[in-house]
Amino acid sequence: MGKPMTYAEKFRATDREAVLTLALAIAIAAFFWGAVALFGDRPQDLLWGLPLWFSVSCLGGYLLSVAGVAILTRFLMRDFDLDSPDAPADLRQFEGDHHGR
Amino acid sequence: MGDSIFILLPIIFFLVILLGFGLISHSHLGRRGEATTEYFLAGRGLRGIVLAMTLVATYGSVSSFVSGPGVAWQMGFGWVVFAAPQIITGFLILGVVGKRLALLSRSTSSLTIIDIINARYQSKPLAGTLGLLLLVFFTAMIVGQFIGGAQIFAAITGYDYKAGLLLFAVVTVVYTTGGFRTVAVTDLICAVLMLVGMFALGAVIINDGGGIGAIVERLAATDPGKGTGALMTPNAGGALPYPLLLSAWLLVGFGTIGLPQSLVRCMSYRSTSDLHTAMVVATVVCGALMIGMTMLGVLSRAVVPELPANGTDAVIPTLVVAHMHPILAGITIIGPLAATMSTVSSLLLSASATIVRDLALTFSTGPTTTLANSLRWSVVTTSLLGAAAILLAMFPQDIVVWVNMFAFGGLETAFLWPIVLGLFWPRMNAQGALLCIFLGIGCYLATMILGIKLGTCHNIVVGLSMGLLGSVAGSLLGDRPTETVRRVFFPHRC
Repeated sequence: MGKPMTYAEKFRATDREAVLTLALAIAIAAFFWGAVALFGDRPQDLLWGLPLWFSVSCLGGYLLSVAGVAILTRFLMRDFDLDSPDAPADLRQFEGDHHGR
Repeated sequence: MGDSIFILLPIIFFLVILLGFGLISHSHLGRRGEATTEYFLAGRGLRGIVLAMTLVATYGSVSSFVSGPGVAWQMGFGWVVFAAPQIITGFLILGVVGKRLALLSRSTSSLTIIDIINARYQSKPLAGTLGLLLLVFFTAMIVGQFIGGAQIFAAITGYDYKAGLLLFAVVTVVYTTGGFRTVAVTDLICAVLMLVGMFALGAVIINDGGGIGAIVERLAATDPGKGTGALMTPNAGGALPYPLLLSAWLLVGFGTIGLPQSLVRCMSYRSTSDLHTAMVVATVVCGALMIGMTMLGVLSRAVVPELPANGTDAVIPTLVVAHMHPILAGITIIGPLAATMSTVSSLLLSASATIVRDLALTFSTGPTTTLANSLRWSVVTTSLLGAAAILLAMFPQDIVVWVNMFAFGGLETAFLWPIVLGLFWPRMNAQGALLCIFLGIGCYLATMILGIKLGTCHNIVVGLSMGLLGSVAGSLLGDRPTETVRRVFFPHRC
């Protein structure tokens, strides 16, 4: 795992992960509305016994969501210790609650 | 009435198990590490699957089980488009603010979302305003959940509304006083039972409807009042305008990052790998439940062809009563009851945390109470607030039902920008957050009450965009956050 990350490095990593998560959510929304726009005006077409637009947008969107999150968490998000001994202590509100191990 | 004994058996069994859990963990309280950290955050030790399930069970409410599917019965597949943004709800909040809140919860020793607001903005007026809003909205939501749960209990078992309410509401309040860990574990049980209820409903609908093919054929030939085949279209034959369906992505999609009952869960888990597991599990379960229940509402029209006398809310109870064996009906009704109880327990615990820690600290001038005292106070506060909510549900007041209607969007409007911009935009300050709340909530409530519409959009669009405007304007006009705040909240941008 190498050297433990500093408090600042963890924040840089979470900036990046927040943007990636948001991008994934926007991509899913785009896929969803793309499918509705593409197939929505032909409600009589079926796929898996349900309206084609519905199967692709709602069920396909769901599967895409699960696959996207699996990839995001497996390959793009980093593991680090949530306790940061190097974090500034200035804003600690309740000394008794300190959680360091 | 003889049948209703069979319906009650599984429900009683379920309630006894939850109660047992609550009493056992209650007796363990205080033995495990820091008492208040344990009571309000489970000692920041939740594992991935529990985190995922408590998030989904808190989010999934009685309306996901009853009102939503009822509207879907009426609108057809178009209503699933409205519910569909919830395929991103499971991972969005965890991925965007999950790790940041976990880091900051530790480095500022925060136990609640208001603690985080306090540390970030250093403003008592702001923390007090958000605390009060949270308390008002949560109380109304708790009462709304109790009413919804008791109604479906009465509709399905045939027993009295008040008897049912007392039965499950008292159990909920009692186990909630066992603290966050009990709430999270019972949420896990509830989430599983919500899935069981959904699968039981699905089996009955598909079986009695003669299979998906026959059901869809019947739906295609039905005229819901917007022309034959309207049930098959994405916009319900025009009954659901596209701007409304698009705003749903804000209301039940992106905006859910601002729900404080979900945010507090981001501070309660053990490690980053637990968070990663939770993101996947929550996405699988949340999407399955929300899309699944709404879709079952659509399909149920083939089995319940006429609108029940009591409106769309009665579709699912009618289905359960008319098409299920009493024992199976009893198991199925646990689904919506579990959805009610898991939502209430989380709201109740957060609301009491707000009273004990946030409002007391904000408005007190003397020395703050010691931690040992505050645990006893927390348990007492949870019980009193729970009792008050039960009374309000016994004798429903219009004002509470009315506030409940705005609560979901109101919480998003009040919390989304102060949290998201507070965590990611160093320039954001207390003036921005206050202006966001007043402009956002003000415009949201005003447009809701006066019936003003921005085209056919949902009013959440007004609330969130005015809130964003207020945040940016207030922050640019006001003071820069102090150096200390920047060092803790933006160590990488100092």
